[in-house]
Amino acid sequence: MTDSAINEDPDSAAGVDVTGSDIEDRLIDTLLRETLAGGTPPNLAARILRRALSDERRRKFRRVALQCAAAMLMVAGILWVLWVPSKAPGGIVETPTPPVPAPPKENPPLVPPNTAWARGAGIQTKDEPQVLELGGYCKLEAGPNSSLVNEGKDKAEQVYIERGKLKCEINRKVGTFAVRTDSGTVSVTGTKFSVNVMGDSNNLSGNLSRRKRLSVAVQEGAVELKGWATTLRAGDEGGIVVGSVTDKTENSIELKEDDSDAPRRFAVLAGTPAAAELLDALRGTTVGSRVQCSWIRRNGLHLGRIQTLWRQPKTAAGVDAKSETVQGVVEETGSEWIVIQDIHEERGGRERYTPGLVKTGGRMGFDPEVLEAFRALKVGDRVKFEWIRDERKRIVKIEKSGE
Amino acid sequence: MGTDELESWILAHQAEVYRYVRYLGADNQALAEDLVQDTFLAALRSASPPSGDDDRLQAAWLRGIARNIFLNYTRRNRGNPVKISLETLEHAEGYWRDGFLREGDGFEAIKALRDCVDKLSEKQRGILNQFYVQEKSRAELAQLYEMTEDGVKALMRRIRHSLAGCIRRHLAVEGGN
Repeated sequence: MTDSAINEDPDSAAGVDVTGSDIEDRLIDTLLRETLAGGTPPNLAARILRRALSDERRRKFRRVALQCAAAMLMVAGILWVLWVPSKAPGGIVETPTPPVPAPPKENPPLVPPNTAWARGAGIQTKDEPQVLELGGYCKLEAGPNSSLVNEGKDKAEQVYIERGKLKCEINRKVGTFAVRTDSGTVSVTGTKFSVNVMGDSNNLSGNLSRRKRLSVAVQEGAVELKGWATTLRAGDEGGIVVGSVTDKTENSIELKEDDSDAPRRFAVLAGTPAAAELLDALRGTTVGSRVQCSWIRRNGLHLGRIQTLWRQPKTAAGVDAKSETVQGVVEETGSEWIVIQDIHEERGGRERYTPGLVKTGGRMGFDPEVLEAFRALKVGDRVKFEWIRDERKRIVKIEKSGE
Repeated sequence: MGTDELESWILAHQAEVYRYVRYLGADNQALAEDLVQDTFLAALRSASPPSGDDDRLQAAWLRGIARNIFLNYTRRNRGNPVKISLETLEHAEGYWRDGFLREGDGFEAIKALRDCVDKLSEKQRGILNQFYVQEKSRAELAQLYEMTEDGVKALMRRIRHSLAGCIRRHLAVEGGN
Protein backbone atom coordinates (compact mmCIF):
# COMPACT_ATOMS: atom_id res chain seq x y z
CA MET A 1 0.00 0.00 0.00
CA THR A 2 1.22 3.47 -0.76
CA ASP A 3 0.69 6.14 1.84
CA SER A 4 0.66 9.03 -0.59
CA ALA A 5 0.02 9.43 -4.28
CA ILE A 6 0.38 12.07 -6.91
CA ASN A 7 -3.29 11.74 -7.41
CA GLU A 8 -5.41 13.96 -9.55
CA ASP A 9 -8.92 12.70 -9.45
CA PRO A 10 -11.36 15.09 -11.04
CA ASP A 11 -14.27 13.02 -9.67
CA SER A 12 -13.17 13.33 -6.09
CA ALA A 13 -14.68 15.90 -3.82
CA ALA A 14 -11.34 17.56 -3.43
CA GLY A 15 -10.99 17.96 -7.21
CA VAL A 16 -7.62 18.67 -8.72
CA ASP A 17 -5.15 19.29 -5.97
CA VAL A 18 -1.61 18.67 -6.97
CA THR A 19 0.85 20.89 -5.23
CA GLY A 20 4.60 20.92 -4.78
CA SER A 21 4.17 19.46 -1.30
CA ASP A 22 2.12 16.51 -2.65
CA ILE A 23 4.93 15.66 -5.00
CA GLU A 24 7.55 16.15 -2.32
CA ASP A 25 5.55 13.91 0.00
CA ARG A 26 5.39 11.25 -2.68
CA LEU A 27 9.14 11.41 -3.24
CA ILE A 28 9.91 11.03 0.48
CA ASP A 29 7.43 8.12 0.66
CA THR A 30 9.21 6.39 -2.24
CA LEU A 31 12.65 6.95 -0.73
CA LEU A 32 11.54 5.75 2.72
CA ARG A 33 10.16 2.61 1.16
CA GLU A 34 13.54 2.01 -0.43
CA THR A 35 15.83 3.00 2.43
CA LEU A 36 13.86 1.62 5.39
CA ALA A 37 12.10 -1.39 3.93
CA GLY A 38 14.97 -2.44 1.70
CA GLY A 39 12.78 -2.06 -1.38
CA THR A 40 15.84 -1.64 -3.56
CA PRO A 41 15.27 -1.65 -7.31
CA PRO A 42 15.42 -5.23 -8.64
CA ASN A 43 17.74 -6.28 -11.45
CA LEU A 44 15.49 -6.60 -14.50
CA ALA A 45 18.21 -6.63 -17.18
CA ALA A 46 17.88 -10.34 -17.96
CA ARG A 47 14.09 -10.15 -18.25
CA ILE A 48 14.24 -7.07 -20.47
CA LEU A 49 16.83 -8.64 -22.75
CA ARG A 50 14.78 -11.83 -23.00
CA ARG A 51 11.66 -9.89 -23.93
CA ALA A 52 13.58 -7.72 -26.40
CA LEU A 53 14.98 -10.80 -28.14
CA SER A 54 11.60 -12.52 -28.20
CA ASP A 55 9.99 -9.34 -29.62
CA GLU A 56 12.65 -9.31 -32.31
CA ARG A 57 12.01 -12.99 -33.12
CA ARG A 58 8.25 -12.35 -33.24
CA ARG A 59 8.77 -9.41 -35.59
CA LYS A 60 10.98 -11.55 -37.82
CA PHE A 61 8.38 -14.34 -37.80
CA ARG A 62 5.61 -11.86 -38.67
CA ARG A 63 7.73 -10.49 -41.52
CA VAL A 64 8.38 -13.99 -42.90
CA ALA A 65 4.68 -14.91 -42.50
CA LEU A 66 3.65 -11.78 -44.39
CA GLN A 67 6.16 -12.56 -47.13
CA CYS A 68 4.80 -16.11 -47.39
CA ALA A 69 1.21 -14.81 -47.53
CA ALA A 70 2.17 -12.31 -50.21
CA ALA A 71 3.90 -15.06 -52.22
CA MET A 72 0.85 -17.32 -51.92
CA LEU A 73 -1.45 -14.53 -53.03
CA MET A 74 0.79 -13.86 -55.99
CA VAL A 75 0.78 -17.56 -56.97
CA ALA A 76 -3.02 -17.65 -56.60
CA GLY A 77 -3.28 -14.54 -58.75
CA ILE A 78 -1.10 -16.05 -61.48
CA LEU A 79 -3.12 -19.30 -61.42
CA TRP A 80 -6.33 -17.27 -61.65
CA VAL A 81 -5.06 -15.33 -64.66
CA LEU A 82 -4.01 -18.57 -66.36
CA TRP A 83 -7.27 -20.31 -65.48
CA VAL A 84 -9.72 -17.66 -66.73
CA PRO A 85 -8.79 -17.68 -70.46
CA SER A 86 -8.33 -21.47 -70.62
CA LYS A 87 -11.64 -22.47 -68.96
CA ALA A 88 -14.11 -19.74 -69.80
CA PRO A 89 -14.31 -19.99 -73.61
CA GLY A 90 -14.74 -23.76 -73.71
CA GLY A 91 -17.61 -23.75 -71.23
CA ILE A 92 -16.43 -27.11 -69.83
CA VAL A 93 -16.98 -26.13 -66.23
CA GLU A 94 -20.57 -26.12 -65.09
CA THR A 95 -20.15 -23.58 -62.36
CA PRO A 96 -20.78 -20.02 -63.49
CA THR A 97 -17.74 -18.29 -64.93
CA PRO A 98 -16.36 -15.87 -62.40
CA PRO A 99 -16.70 -12.26 -63.42
CA VAL A 100 -13.63 -10.86 -65.09
CA PRO A 101 -12.09 -8.39 -62.68
CA ALA A 102 -12.29 -4.76 -63.72
CA PRO A 103 -9.03 -3.41 -65.09
CA PRO A 104 -7.04 -1.72 -62.34
CA LYS A 105 -7.15 2.03 -62.21
CA GLU A 106 -3.95 3.82 -62.94
CA ASN A 107 -2.08 4.43 -59.63
CA PRO A 108 -5.15 4.09 -57.39
CA PRO A 109 -4.75 6.18 -54.23
CA LEU A 110 -5.28 4.39 -50.90
CA VAL A 111 -7.55 7.22 -49.87
CA PRO A 112 -9.62 8.91 -52.59
CA PRO A 113 -8.71 12.58 -53.09
CA ASN A 114 -10.65 15.15 -51.06
CA THR A 115 -12.18 12.56 -48.73
CA ALA A 116 -11.83 11.88 -45.00
CA TRP A 117 -8.92 9.76 -43.94
CA ALA A 118 -9.48 6.93 -41.42
CA ARG A 119 -7.58 6.88 -38.11
CA GLY A 120 -4.52 4.66 -38.22
CA ALA A 121 -4.65 4.39 -42.01
CA GLY A 122 -1.48 4.86 -44.01
CA ILE A 123 -1.05 6.61 -47.31
CA GLN A 124 1.76 6.26 -49.82
CA THR A 125 1.55 8.66 -52.70
CA LYS A 126 3.15 7.80 -56.02
CA ASP A 127 4.08 10.26 -58.72
CA GLU A 128 1.16 12.62 -58.07
CA PRO A 129 0.36 14.74 -55.02
CA GLN A 130 -2.78 13.79 -53.09
CA VAL A 131 -5.24 16.08 -51.34
CA LEU A 132 -6.49 14.93 -47.93
CA GLU A 133 -8.81 16.25 -45.28
CA LEU A 134 -8.73 15.66 -41.50
CA GLY A 135 -11.33 16.48 -38.87
CA GLY A 136 -13.03 19.07 -41.03
CA TYR A 137 -10.35 21.67 -40.26
CA CYS A 138 -7.06 20.34 -41.67
CA LYS A 139 -6.59 20.56 -45.41
CA LEU A 140 -3.47 18.65 -46.43
CA GLU A 141 -1.61 17.96 -49.61
CA ALA A 142 0.85 15.07 -49.56
CA GLY A 143 3.63 15.51 -52.11
CA PRO A 144 4.67 12.78 -54.56
CA ASN A 145 6.40 9.72 -53.05
CA SER A 146 5.33 10.60 -49.53
CA SER A 147 4.45 8.13 -46.80
CA LEU A 148 2.03 9.20 -44.05
CA VAL A 149 -0.10 7.76 -41.25
CA ASN A 150 -3.14 9.37 -39.64
CA GLU A 151 -2.53 9.06 -35.89
CA GLY A 152 -4.68 11.85 -34.52
CA LYS A 153 -7.99 12.03 -32.71
CA ASP A 154 -11.00 14.35 -32.73
CA LYS A 155 -9.95 17.99 -32.46
CA ALA A 156 -6.31 16.90 -32.00
CA GLU A 157 -5.32 15.73 -35.44
CA GLN A 158 -1.81 14.42 -35.98
CA VAL A 159 -0.01 12.97 -38.97
CA TYR A 160 3.17 10.91 -38.91
CA ILE A 161 5.27 11.50 -42.00
CA GLU A 162 7.93 8.92 -42.67
CA ARG A 163 9.21 10.57 -45.81
CA GLY A 164 8.18 13.13 -48.40
CA LYS A 165 6.44 16.44 -48.28
CA LEU A 166 3.21 17.64 -46.68
CA LYS A 167 1.50 21.01 -47.16
CA CYS A 168 -0.94 21.92 -44.41
CA GLU A 169 -3.67 24.48 -44.05
CA ILE A 170 -5.26 24.45 -40.61
CA ASN A 171 -8.18 26.24 -39.03
CA ARG A 172 -6.83 26.60 -35.51
CA LYS A 173 -10.16 27.76 -34.13
CA VAL A 174 -11.49 24.21 -34.46
CA GLY A 175 -8.68 22.06 -33.03
CA THR A 176 -4.96 21.37 -32.77
CA PHE A 177 -2.73 19.80 -35.36
CA ALA A 178 0.77 18.32 -35.29
CA VAL A 179 3.07 16.60 -37.76
CA ARG A 180 5.30 13.96 -36.20
CA THR A 181 8.53 12.87 -37.90
CA ASP A 182 11.45 10.71 -36.81
CA SER A 183 13.43 13.91 -36.25
CA GLY A 184 10.85 15.80 -34.23
CA THR A 185 7.28 16.99 -34.04
CA VAL A 186 5.97 20.12 -35.68
CA SER A 187 3.19 21.50 -33.53
CA VAL A 188 0.90 24.01 -35.13
CA THR A 189 0.12 27.32 -33.58
CA GLY A 190 -0.48 28.82 -37.00
CA THR A 191 -2.36 27.99 -40.12
CA LYS A 192 -0.47 27.32 -43.33
CA PHE A 193 2.88 25.55 -43.68
CA SER A 194 4.68 22.67 -45.38
CA VAL A 195 6.87 19.89 -43.99
CA ASN A 196 9.53 17.95 -45.88
CA VAL A 197 11.26 14.83 -44.50
CA MET A 198 14.43 13.67 -46.25
CA GLY A 199 17.20 11.12 -45.82
CA ASP A 200 17.13 8.08 -43.61
CA SER A 201 17.61 7.24 -39.95
CA ASN A 202 18.82 4.33 -37.84
CA ASN A 203 18.93 3.23 -34.22
CA LEU A 204 22.67 3.61 -33.90
CA SER A 205 24.28 6.10 -31.62
CA GLY A 206 27.75 7.58 -31.90
CA ASN A 207 29.42 8.54 -35.14
CA LEU A 208 27.40 5.97 -37.12
CA SER A 209 24.09 7.53 -36.18
CA ARG A 210 21.84 8.78 -38.95
CA ARG A 211 18.71 10.87 -38.54
CA LYS A 212 16.26 12.17 -41.10
CA ARG A 213 16.34 15.83 -42.10
CA LEU A 214 13.24 17.87 -41.53
CA SER A 215 12.49 21.10 -43.31
CA VAL A 216 9.51 23.35 -42.60
CA ALA A 217 8.30 26.46 -44.42
CA VAL A 218 5.60 28.60 -42.82
CA GLN A 219 3.30 30.67 -45.00
CA GLU A 220 0.85 31.91 -42.35
CA GLY A 221 0.76 31.84 -38.55
CA ALA A 222 3.45 29.95 -36.67
CA VAL A 223 4.60 26.41 -35.90
CA GLU A 224 6.77 25.01 -33.17
CA LEU A 225 9.46 22.32 -33.49
CA LYS A 226 8.54 20.46 -30.32
CA GLY A 227 11.43 19.69 -28.03
CA TRP A 228 13.74 21.94 -30.00
CA ALA A 229 12.73 25.29 -28.47
CA THR A 230 12.27 26.62 -31.98
CA THR A 231 9.24 28.55 -33.21
CA LEU A 232 8.88 29.42 -36.89
CA ARG A 233 6.67 32.32 -37.90
CA ALA A 234 5.10 33.33 -41.20
CA GLY A 235 7.78 33.68 -43.84
CA ASP A 236 10.30 31.61 -41.86
CA GLU A 237 11.96 28.50 -43.09
CA GLY A 238 13.59 26.12 -40.66
CA GLY A 239 14.01 22.52 -39.66
CA ILE A 240 16.24 19.90 -38.11
CA VAL A 241 19.50 18.73 -39.67
CA VAL A 242 22.15 16.19 -38.81
CA GLY A 243 25.77 16.31 -39.82
CA SER A 244 29.42 16.61 -38.87
CA VAL A 245 30.95 19.80 -37.52
CA THR A 246 33.58 21.00 -39.99
CA ASP A 247 34.42 24.30 -38.29
CA LYS A 248 33.27 26.46 -35.43
CA THR A 249 33.77 29.92 -34.01
CA GLU A 250 32.67 31.40 -30.72
CA ASN A 251 29.16 32.04 -32.03
CA SER A 252 28.71 29.89 -35.12
CA ILE A 253 29.11 26.38 -36.36
CA GLU A 254 29.75 24.99 -39.83
CA LEU A 255 27.99 21.74 -40.55
CA LYS A 256 28.46 19.22 -43.35
CA GLU A 257 25.01 17.69 -43.49
CA ASP A 258 24.42 14.06 -44.43
CA ASP A 259 23.68 13.69 -48.17
CA SER A 260 24.85 17.21 -48.84
CA ASP A 261 28.08 18.30 -50.53
CA ALA A 262 28.56 21.85 -49.30
CA PRO A 263 28.76 22.68 -45.59
CA ARG A 264 26.47 25.39 -44.21
CA ARG A 265 27.22 27.79 -41.38
CA PHE A 266 24.64 28.37 -38.63
CA ALA A 267 25.06 31.32 -36.27
CA VAL A 268 23.69 32.00 -32.79
CA LEU A 269 21.12 34.78 -32.95
CA ALA A 270 22.37 37.26 -30.35
CA GLY A 271 19.94 38.71 -27.82
CA THR A 272 17.55 35.73 -27.78
CA PRO A 273 16.71 33.88 -24.54
CA ALA A 274 18.44 30.75 -25.86
CA ALA A 275 21.64 32.54 -26.90
CA ALA A 276 23.58 31.95 -23.67
CA GLU A 277 22.69 28.24 -23.63
CA LEU A 278 23.65 27.89 -27.29
CA LEU A 279 27.00 29.64 -26.86
CA ASP A 280 27.67 27.28 -23.98
CA ALA A 281 26.75 24.28 -26.16
CA LEU A 282 29.06 25.54 -28.92
CA ARG A 283 31.96 25.78 -26.48
CA GLY A 284 31.45 22.10 -25.64
CA THR A 285 31.25 21.00 -29.28
CA THR A 286 34.36 19.84 -31.11
CA VAL A 287 35.24 19.82 -34.79
CA GLY A 288 34.47 16.37 -36.21
CA SER A 289 31.57 15.71 -33.82
CA ARG A 290 28.21 14.61 -35.14
CA VAL A 291 25.38 16.87 -34.10
CA GLN A 292 21.67 17.29 -34.69
CA CYS A 293 20.34 20.83 -34.57
CA SER A 294 17.29 22.88 -35.28
CA TRP A 295 17.67 25.99 -37.42
CA ILE A 296 15.78 29.00 -38.70
CA ARG A 297 16.41 31.08 -41.82
CA ARG A 298 15.77 34.65 -40.71
CA ASN A 299 18.24 37.13 -42.20
CA GLY A 300 20.72 34.29 -42.45
CA LEU A 301 20.88 30.80 -40.98
CA HIS A 302 20.49 30.67 -37.21
CA LEU A 303 20.76 27.88 -34.66
CA GLY A 304 17.69 26.95 -32.61
CA ARG A 305 19.08 24.20 -30.41
CA ILE A 306 22.00 21.79 -30.76
CA GLN A 307 22.31 18.21 -29.56
CA THR A 308 25.53 16.21 -29.81
CA LEU A 309 25.07 12.67 -31.17
CA TRP A 310 28.74 11.81 -31.04
CA ARG A 311 31.55 13.94 -29.73
CA GLN A 312 34.94 13.96 -31.44
CA PRO A 313 37.37 13.65 -28.52
CA LYS A 314 39.44 16.68 -27.78
CA THR A 315 43.19 16.36 -27.69
CA ALA A 316 44.85 15.72 -24.33
CA ALA A 317 45.36 19.48 -24.04
CA GLY A 318 41.62 19.98 -24.44
CA VAL A 319 41.93 21.55 -27.88
CA ASP A 320 39.82 20.59 -30.88
CA ALA A 321 42.01 18.45 -33.08
CA LYS A 322 42.69 19.94 -36.53
CA SER A 323 43.15 17.27 -39.09
CA GLU A 324 45.18 16.95 -42.27
CA THR A 325 44.88 14.41 -45.05
CA VAL A 326 48.12 13.10 -46.54
CA GLN A 327 49.23 10.48 -49.06
CA GLY A 328 52.30 8.36 -48.44
CA VAL A 329 54.04 4.99 -48.63
CA VAL A 330 54.26 2.56 -45.70
CA GLU A 331 57.90 2.05 -44.66
CA GLU A 332 57.60 0.12 -41.38
CA THR A 333 54.74 -1.42 -39.41
CA GLY A 334 54.30 -2.44 -35.77
CA SER A 335 51.35 -3.79 -33.80
CA GLU A 336 50.32 -0.29 -32.71
CA TRP A 337 52.29 2.07 -34.90
CA ILE A 338 53.25 2.70 -38.49
CA VAL A 339 55.96 4.68 -40.31
CA ILE A 340 54.91 6.44 -43.47
CA GLN A 341 56.91 8.41 -46.00
CA ASP A 342 54.93 11.41 -47.22
CA ILE A 343 54.97 11.43 -51.00
CA HIS A 344 55.13 15.23 -50.97
CA GLU A 345 58.65 16.04 -49.78
CA GLU A 346 57.79 19.59 -48.83
CA ARG A 347 55.48 18.23 -46.13
CA GLY A 348 58.29 16.83 -44.03
CA GLY A 349 59.08 13.32 -45.20
CA ARG A 350 59.04 10.33 -42.88
CA GLU A 351 56.85 10.12 -39.76
CA ARG A 352 55.88 7.55 -37.13
CA TYR A 353 52.17 7.52 -36.29
CA THR A 354 49.96 5.79 -33.71
CA PRO A 355 46.16 5.41 -33.99
CA GLY A 356 43.79 8.11 -32.73
CA LEU A 357 42.31 7.73 -29.27
CA VAL A 358 38.67 6.84 -28.73
CA LYS A 359 36.60 6.04 -25.67
CA THR A 360 35.44 2.43 -25.66
CA GLY A 361 33.83 0.72 -22.69
CA GLY A 362 34.40 3.83 -20.57
CA ARG A 363 38.17 3.88 -21.18
CA MET A 364 40.35 5.74 -23.65
CA GLY A 365 42.32 3.57 -26.02
CA PHE A 366 43.57 3.27 -29.60
CA ASP A 367 40.84 3.37 -32.21
CA PRO A 368 40.21 -0.35 -33.00
CA GLU A 369 39.27 0.36 -36.62
CA VAL A 370 42.57 2.15 -37.27
CA LEU A 371 44.51 -0.62 -35.48
CA GLU A 372 42.84 -3.18 -37.74
CA ALA A 373 43.69 -1.07 -40.78
CA PHE A 374 47.36 -0.89 -39.64
CA ARG A 375 47.51 -4.69 -39.40
CA ALA A 376 46.20 -5.08 -42.94
CA LEU A 377 48.93 -2.88 -44.40
CA LYS A 378 52.29 -4.07 -45.73
CA VAL A 379 55.56 -2.24 -46.29
CA GLY A 380 55.42 -0.57 -49.68
CA ASP A 381 51.63 -0.02 -49.64
CA ARG A 382 50.54 3.36 -50.82
CA VAL A 383 48.04 4.93 -48.40
CA LYS A 384 45.85 7.95 -47.94
CA PHE A 385 45.36 8.92 -44.31
CA GLU A 386 44.04 11.62 -42.04
CA TRP A 387 45.96 12.56 -38.91
CA ILE A 388 45.41 14.84 -35.96
CA ARG A 389 47.91 16.21 -33.47
CA ASP A 390 46.93 14.95 -30.06
CA GLU A 391 50.18 15.25 -28.12
CA ARG A 392 51.65 13.41 -31.09
CA LYS A 393 50.58 12.62 -34.63
CA ARG A 394 47.73 10.15 -34.55
CA ILE A 395 45.96 8.61 -37.51
CA VAL A 396 42.15 8.75 -37.35
CA LYS A 397 41.45 7.33 -40.79
CA ILE A 398 43.63 5.35 -43.21
CA GLU A 399 43.01 3.50 -46.45
CA LYS A 400 45.00 2.05 -49.32
CA SER A 401 45.16 4.35 -52.30
CA GLY A 402 45.86 3.51 -55.94
CA GLU A 403 49.28 3.51 -57.52
CA MET B 1 24.40 -2.27 -29.62
CA GLY B 2 25.56 -5.78 -28.71
CA THR B 3 23.90 -7.78 -25.92
CA ASP B 4 26.68 -6.99 -23.43
CA GLU B 5 26.49 -3.28 -24.14
CA LEU B 6 22.74 -3.42 -23.95
CA GLU B 7 22.90 -5.12 -20.58
CA SER B 8 25.37 -2.54 -19.25
CA TRP B 9 23.10 0.20 -20.48
CA ILE B 10 20.05 -1.31 -18.77
CA LEU B 11 22.02 -1.86 -15.56
CA ALA B 12 23.13 1.76 -15.61
CA HIS B 13 19.60 3.15 -15.80
CA GLN B 14 17.15 0.59 -14.42
CA ALA B 15 17.40 1.61 -10.76
CA GLU B 16 16.46 5.19 -11.49
CA VAL B 17 13.60 4.20 -13.80
CA TYR B 18 12.26 1.80 -11.16
CA ARG B 19 12.48 4.41 -8.41
CA TYR B 20 10.87 6.92 -10.77
CA VAL B 21 7.81 4.82 -11.65
CA ARG B 22 7.29 4.06 -7.95
CA TYR B 23 7.42 7.82 -7.36
CA LEU B 24 4.90 8.49 -10.13
CA GLY B 25 2.44 6.11 -8.54
CA ALA B 26 3.23 2.48 -9.36
CA ASP B 27 2.20 1.40 -5.89
CA ASN B 28 3.31 -2.20 -5.97
CA GLN B 29 6.52 -3.91 -6.97
CA ALA B 30 5.02 -6.09 -9.72
CA LEU B 31 3.47 -3.10 -11.49
CA ALA B 32 6.68 -1.09 -11.17
CA GLU B 33 8.68 -3.97 -12.65
CA ASP B 34 6.27 -4.25 -15.59
CA LEU B 35 6.47 -0.53 -16.24
CA VAL B 36 10.28 -0.56 -16.11
CA GLN B 37 10.42 -3.43 -18.60
CA ASP B 38 7.94 -1.70 -20.92
CA THR B 39 9.98 1.49 -20.69
CA PHE B 40 13.20 -0.20 -21.79
CA LEU B 41 11.46 -2.17 -24.55
CA ALA B 42 9.91 1.04 -25.89
CA ALA B 43 13.31 2.73 -25.69
CA LEU B 44 14.93 -0.12 -27.62
CA ARG B 45 12.30 0.20 -30.35
CA SER B 46 12.73 3.97 -30.58
CA ALA B 47 14.05 5.37 -33.84
CA SER B 48 15.68 8.41 -32.29
CA PRO B 49 17.52 7.73 -29.05
CA PRO B 50 19.71 10.50 -27.65
CA SER B 51 23.51 10.43 -27.78
CA GLY B 52 25.10 7.41 -26.13
CA ASP B 53 27.70 9.55 -24.39
CA ASP B 54 25.43 11.68 -22.27
CA ASP B 55 24.07 9.61 -19.37
CA ARG B 56 21.95 12.43 -17.99
CA LEU B 57 20.29 13.02 -21.35
CA GLN B 58 19.62 9.30 -21.69
CA ALA B 59 18.16 9.13 -18.17
CA ALA B 60 15.86 12.08 -18.92
CA TRP B 61 14.78 10.42 -22.16
CA LEU B 62 14.00 7.15 -20.36
CA ARG B 63 12.01 9.05 -17.73
CA GLY B 64 9.99 10.64 -20.54
CA ILE B 65 9.15 7.21 -21.93
CA ALA B 66 8.31 5.94 -18.44
CA ARG B 67 5.93 8.88 -17.90
CA ASN B 68 4.07 8.14 -21.14
CA ILE B 69 3.83 4.45 -20.31
CA PHE B 70 2.59 5.20 -16.81
CA LEU B 71 0.05 7.69 -18.18
CA ASN B 72 -1.24 5.12 -20.67
CA TYR B 73 -1.46 2.57 -17.88
CA THR B 74 -3.57 4.85 -15.67
CA ARG B 75 -5.86 5.70 -18.60
CA ARG B 76 -6.26 2.06 -19.59
CA ASN B 77 -7.03 0.88 -16.06
CA ARG B 78 -10.07 2.92 -15.16
CA GLY B 79 -10.44 1.10 -11.86
CA ASN B 80 -7.06 2.39 -10.73
CA PRO B 81 -7.43 4.98 -7.97
CA VAL B 82 -4.52 6.99 -9.33
CA LYS B 83 -5.80 9.55 -11.82
CA ILE B 84 -3.13 11.68 -13.29
CA SER B 85 -2.70 14.19 -16.10
CA LEU B 86 0.22 14.97 -18.35
CA GLU B 87 0.66 18.35 -16.65
CA THR B 88 0.93 16.70 -13.25
CA LEU B 89 3.50 14.26 -14.57
CA GLU B 90 5.53 17.13 -16.03
CA HIS B 91 5.33 18.85 -12.65
CA ALA B 92 6.51 15.64 -10.97
CA GLU B 93 9.38 15.37 -13.44
CA GLY B 94 10.45 18.95 -12.66
CA TYR B 95 10.62 18.14 -8.95
CA TRP B 96 12.48 14.88 -9.59
CA ARG B 97 15.05 16.65 -11.76
CA ASP B 98 15.54 19.80 -9.69
CA GLY B 99 14.60 18.67 -6.19
CA PHE B 100 15.94 15.12 -6.15
CA LEU B 101 18.60 14.57 -8.83
CA ARG B 102 20.06 18.10 -8.65
CA GLU B 103 22.38 17.48 -11.60
CA GLY B 104 23.53 14.21 -9.99
CA ASP B 105 22.02 10.78 -9.48
CA GLY B 106 20.03 11.55 -6.31
CA PHE B 107 22.50 9.75 -4.07
CA GLU B 108 23.04 12.88 -1.96
CA ALA B 109 19.31 13.11 -1.23
CA ILE B 110 19.12 9.43 -0.21
CA LYS B 111 22.14 9.85 2.03
CA ALA B 112 20.59 12.97 3.58
CA LEU B 113 17.33 11.08 4.16
CA ARG B 114 19.17 8.39 6.13
CA ASP B 115 20.82 11.06 8.31
CA CYS B 116 17.49 12.81 8.79
CA VAL B 117 15.67 9.63 9.83
CA ASP B 118 18.33 9.15 12.51
CA LYS B 119 17.49 12.58 13.87
CA LEU B 120 13.77 11.85 14.29
CA SER B 121 12.28 11.24 17.73
CA GLU B 122 11.97 7.69 18.99
CA LYS B 123 8.19 7.74 18.50
CA GLN B 124 8.45 9.05 14.93
CA ARG B 125 11.06 6.45 14.01
CA GLY B 126 8.87 3.77 15.58
CA ILE B 127 5.87 4.77 13.47
CA LEU B 128 7.93 4.82 10.27
CA ASN B 129 9.39 1.45 11.17
CA GLN B 130 5.98 -0.11 11.78
CA PHE B 131 4.50 1.33 8.62
CA TYR B 132 7.34 0.85 6.13
CA VAL B 133 9.24 -2.13 7.57
CA GLN B 134 6.59 -4.14 9.40
CA GLU B 135 3.99 -3.07 6.83
CA LYS B 136 1.30 -2.38 9.43
CA SER B 137 -1.83 -0.74 8.08
CA ARG B 138 -3.03 2.69 9.12
CA ALA B 139 -5.90 1.02 11.02
CA GLU B 140 -3.46 -1.08 13.03
CA LEU B 141 -1.32 1.95 13.79
CA ALA B 142 -4.41 3.91 14.82
CA GLN B 143 -5.31 1.19 17.32
CA LEU B 144 -1.77 0.97 18.61
CA TYR B 145 -1.36 4.70 19.16
CA GLU B 146 -4.98 5.35 20.12
CA MET B 147 -5.57 7.70 17.22
CA THR B 148 -7.98 7.86 14.31
CA GLU B 149 -6.87 6.61 10.89
CA ASP B 150 -6.95 10.17 9.59
CA GLY B 151 -4.81 11.18 12.52
CA VAL B 152 -2.22 8.54 11.58
CA LYS B 153 -2.32 9.70 7.98
CA ALA B 154 -1.77 13.31 9.03
CA LEU B 155 1.02 12.30 11.39
CA MET B 156 2.81 10.32 8.67
CA ARG B 157 2.49 13.28 6.38
CA ARG B 158 3.94 15.61 9.01
CA ILE B 159 6.90 13.27 9.55
CA ARG B 160 7.59 13.13 5.82
CA HIS B 161 7.25 16.90 5.61
CA SER B 162 9.82 17.38 8.35
CA LEU B 163 12.13 14.87 6.64
CA ALA B 164 11.79 16.81 3.37
CA GLY B 165 12.77 20.03 5.17
CA CYS B 166 15.72 18.31 6.80
CA ILE B 167 16.92 16.93 3.43
CA ARG B 168 16.64 20.37 1.85
CA ARG B 169 18.76 21.86 4.63
CA HIS B 170 21.35 19.09 4.31
CA LEU B 171 21.64 19.55 0.57
CA ALA B 172 21.80 23.33 0.88
CA VAL B 173 24.66 23.05 3.36
CA GLU B 174 26.52 20.54 1.20
CA GLY B 175 25.85 22.59 -1.93
CA GLY B 176 27.18 25.64 -0.10
CA ASN B 177 30.34 23.83 0.88
